[in-house]
Amino acid sequence: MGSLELFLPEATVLVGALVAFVLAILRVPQRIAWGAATVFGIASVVMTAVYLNASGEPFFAGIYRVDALSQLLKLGITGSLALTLLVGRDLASFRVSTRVDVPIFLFFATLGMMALVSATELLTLYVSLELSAYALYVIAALQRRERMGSEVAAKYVLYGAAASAISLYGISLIYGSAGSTYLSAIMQTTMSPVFAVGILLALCGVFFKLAVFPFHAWAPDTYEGAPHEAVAFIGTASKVAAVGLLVRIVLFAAPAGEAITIALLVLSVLSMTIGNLAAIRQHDLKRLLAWSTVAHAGYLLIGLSTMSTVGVASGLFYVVTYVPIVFAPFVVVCVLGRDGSNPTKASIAGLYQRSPLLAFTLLVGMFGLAGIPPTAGFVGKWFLFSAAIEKGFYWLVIVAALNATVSLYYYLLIVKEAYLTPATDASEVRMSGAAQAAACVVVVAAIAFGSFPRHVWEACEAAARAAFAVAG
Amino acid sequence: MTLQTWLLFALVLFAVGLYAVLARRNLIAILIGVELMLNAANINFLAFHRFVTNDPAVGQIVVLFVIGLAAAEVAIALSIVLAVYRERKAIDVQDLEELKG
Amino acid sequence: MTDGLIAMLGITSPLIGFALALLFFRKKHDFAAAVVVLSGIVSLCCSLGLLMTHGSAATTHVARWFAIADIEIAFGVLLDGKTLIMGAVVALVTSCIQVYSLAYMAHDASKARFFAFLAFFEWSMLSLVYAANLLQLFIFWELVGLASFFLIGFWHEKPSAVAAAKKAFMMTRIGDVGLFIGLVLLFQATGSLDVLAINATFDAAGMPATIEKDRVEWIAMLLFIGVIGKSAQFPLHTWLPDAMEGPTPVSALLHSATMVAAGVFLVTRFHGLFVDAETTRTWMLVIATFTALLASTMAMVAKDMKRVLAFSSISQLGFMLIGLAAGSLFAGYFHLITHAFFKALLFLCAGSFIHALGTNDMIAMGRAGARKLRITTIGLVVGGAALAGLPPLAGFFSKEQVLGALHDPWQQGFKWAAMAAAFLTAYYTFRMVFLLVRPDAASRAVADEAAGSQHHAGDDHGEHEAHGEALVMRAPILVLAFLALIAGFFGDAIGRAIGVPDVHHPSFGEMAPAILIALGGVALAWFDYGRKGAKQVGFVAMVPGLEKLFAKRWYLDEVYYYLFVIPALALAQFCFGAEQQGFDKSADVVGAGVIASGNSVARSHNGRLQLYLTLAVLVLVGLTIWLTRELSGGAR
Repeated sequence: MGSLELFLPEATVLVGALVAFVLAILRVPQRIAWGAATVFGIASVVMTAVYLNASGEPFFAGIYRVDALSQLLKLGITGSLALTLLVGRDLASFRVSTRVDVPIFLFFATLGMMALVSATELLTLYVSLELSAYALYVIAALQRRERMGSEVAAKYVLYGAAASAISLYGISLIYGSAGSTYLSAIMQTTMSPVFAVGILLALCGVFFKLAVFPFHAWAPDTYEGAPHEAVAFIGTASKVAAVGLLVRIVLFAAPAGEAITIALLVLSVLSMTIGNLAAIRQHDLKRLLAWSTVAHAGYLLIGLSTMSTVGVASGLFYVVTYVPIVFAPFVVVCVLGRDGSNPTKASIAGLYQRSPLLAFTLLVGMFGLAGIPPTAGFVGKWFLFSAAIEKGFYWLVIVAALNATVSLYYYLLIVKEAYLTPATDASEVRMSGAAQAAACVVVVAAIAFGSFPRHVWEACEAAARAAFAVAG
Repeated sequence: MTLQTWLLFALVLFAVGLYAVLARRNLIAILIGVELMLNAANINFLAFHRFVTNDPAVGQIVVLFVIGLAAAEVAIALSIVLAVYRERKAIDVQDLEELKG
Repeated sequence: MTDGLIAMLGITSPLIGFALALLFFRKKHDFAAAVVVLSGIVSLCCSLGLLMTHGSAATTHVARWFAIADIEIAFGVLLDGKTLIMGAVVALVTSCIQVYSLAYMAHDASKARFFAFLAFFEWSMLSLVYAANLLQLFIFWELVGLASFFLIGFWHEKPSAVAAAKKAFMMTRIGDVGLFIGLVLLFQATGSLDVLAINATFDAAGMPATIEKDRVEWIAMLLFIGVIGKSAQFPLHTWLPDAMEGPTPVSALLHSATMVAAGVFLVTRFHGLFVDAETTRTWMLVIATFTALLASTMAMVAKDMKRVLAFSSISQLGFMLIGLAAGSLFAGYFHLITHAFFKALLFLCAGSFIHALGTNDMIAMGRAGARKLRITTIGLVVGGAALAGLPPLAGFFSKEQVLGALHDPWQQGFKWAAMAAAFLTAYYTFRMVFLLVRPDAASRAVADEAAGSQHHAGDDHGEHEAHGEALVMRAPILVLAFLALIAGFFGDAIGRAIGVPDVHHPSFGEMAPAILIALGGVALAWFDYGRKGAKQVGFVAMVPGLEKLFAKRWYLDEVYYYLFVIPALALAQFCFGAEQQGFDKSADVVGAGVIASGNSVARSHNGRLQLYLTLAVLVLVGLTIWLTRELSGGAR
């Protein structure tokens, strides 16, 4: 039994949720609710950073574990929350009457995700997964354009519910095979077909969150139709949390040896190929980002499916550095989409003249996604590919490298639009101070992680070792 | 009844639910399908609890939690279905095809 | 240690120039240009200083960057003869071009952006040259490509420039995939990322004991694929002629010391590896010889001056690779250096003509009085003579070395082909010279040639009234002309620096064929274009169809279009009933195929929730069945 002190990061988020709840009931002006929420969001990042190297089990031994893995991912999750709140002052694409409520759901989703990466017991995992999912279903539905919003929310919730039901069925099979819901016990279980099928089905929940083929189809529609800030949060925090879950599940799949690895690799290749191909023809920036997410989920799977320490560490590095990289274009989406519309390739034309900072943020984001040095995207891919090569998956690296080539095409087209095409509407883009801060943070982080990856990489290696240590 | 009987029953229930999700047009019917799938998992938990494990309570506790979660999920899903209905005066899944590509 | 710091200063100075120009002097164009030129000069001083003072011993100066598992990855500079000479040439040529651009781009609306990217280009190329490990090498290899993408597409309101930039980028990226895999395999085989350590493995006589022969061949072949893309060799050469859509100073930079030079430099960098891979070297020889010949035939009939020079670059890059493939490090490296000078010179001359006369067409230029630009004409004649391989200019010595490298009996066929290419080089170079300086020789061929010139005019972007030669344009031309005159005599010094101390000095008897070939080419050009009353029609026109074949660049763009785009479209149509998309033919061909399949994928995503879910369930069922069989099979 560890000290309750270890629970402080989560407690900060919980208090933040409650404060946001009270403020919403009091119907304070939205600006005040936003300010309070942002303070708590940043406080949660600070708290997580303070407890980054903590480890122990605050309560219910064996259910909830604080270790290098959970704390690293929590930093990614709370970081996404804080960034979302920073750019989300206006919440312009949300329905007016709901804007004051949005922080509540963001905080609860964050809380669920933080619990998810710390949980080491199946029921706890499932409950935290659902807690975060429900909050996200709600904020995805609050789109100002109601016709589109309702379609998106219905698709998202039904797709998600079906995936989670399949996942729960898989969990029941795991429980049946292992006779226990504790990960430490499950990791000792000998492999059997039922167990393997259970793992595969349980992974569906993760595939859904990460938007891995064949559970990718919700992403483009949801990204296009859901409010900007909601998508920014789903596109970052949710991925980090899902990777935490994936690491936990993949580790007890290790005895299945090649079989599960091959299944994962097939899905990885299909994801990246389909995501990159479909992204080429997108004009809506959010939809393009959705397909690119599908592709990146494919890259991520490369590292995790190797099931080696280096592989898991490379997957963790990829997802942690992915947060600032993918958030960069979302800053652009949130700032440019202040009239509630979605930015398109046409509307970012000449962004360089209208707002140099915003254009540079977009450039860094696109370079990061495309894997162009010196951004973290390049180093991340390098780690992933090295892990795959270490396991001898040369063909996989070839496919991934070809895919990265294809993806360059559409990422660079965006940069070209922003920098080379003259603006049709030359008015200057106004950014709030908070949004400027968010832009600077993501740009600096994306470049710093890429230029000086050493410390992040060491944290990821420690996290990977911690994940393997759960069994012991 | 043996473990196999229960597992088979749960599998059939799961398949029925999945079929409803994939084939029914009505959003509420799809939702019911999801509920059937969740309950199939619940039956699995109980069967494994009864026949496989020697733990006194875990399987039952899981089921209680899942029932609670399912209720919450239905509440959210129904409110969204209501929003769909308000906009379109129909709850047919085939009306939800405006976003694509 | 101080050497390492000086090298780092030389490398980072253009980066600082780039950052300052782009971030602070976006609107103050003259400041931006001054900062960039200054940063280039600092870099030049560092490079030259290092070249003078650093001994011939190879040293690395590195700092730890990060570690993955047990492998340390360092970041730093490698200082040896190859690096120092190439670094000095890059800095020197870039500085000349930057000074020249002060006048050439004086009235451009985005001057600051132009200079910023020139500095970025210089930084990437210098970092590539000085790279001490494979990762660094690959990073800057990519950045060099990225920089050319931005500079070729600099005049973005010209659709042809944008298309050319895209084509250049995609074509070289195809090669880069090969390079990346090759570098990864190299790392696997040697267990080291350090360039010096890797070279130590291969430089020793005989095959390295630890690596099997096949592996070496594979690595060399994959690296060579990267070189094919970067150095524009057949079949990935089609991007380079289009790349002249960029401003002329960019072409000068791209064709001489940077972009295309990176490919050849890579081969010289890992020469020990290529020496061990004999099969790959044979392939290299075949491709390089073929490219050298192919590109010279294209240059014979082109009317656009920059196009002639672009084809000649492809051809000369072929020569460098011939030398390297024949096993002579010195021949390839020497030709790389001399070519950098005279090709930059020729492009700058072309830029002066274009700037002053407002057209790219050589016949129109000649008629408009190209030879009145005295300094430029001198530069043109010197550069042309060097390119043609007339003694005692730089090109003669290095080309002689390349031809001399082909001395084995089985290489005789290649030698003849290379000599033919050298003959054609002399011919088309002086065709260009005579068209420009002896326009009055034209008695005929006025009316029908003028028609072809229209759509090429207008490189000068707006201002078309005649300019004189500005001083800042003359000075770089004179500097480069001087270098093209004397560079040939530094062969021994270069040889010593790169570790080939016993450079073969050909006797006059051995040199005679090369001299005769060059003179023969010039004489034929004189007969066709230069003498009084010459018809100014090339000898190829006597063979029906041949001229058109050369002018259409052997129809290779069309072949690629039918080979890659049409099948992709047909497949897409067959699978998804996609309607035909109007593809721009100039769009890069492979990319168009990818785009077509992308359209199909996106279109199949039709917004139906239940279809999405059914797909997911079907895949899951398939995986479940496979997994069950796999695992129960294992149990049995």
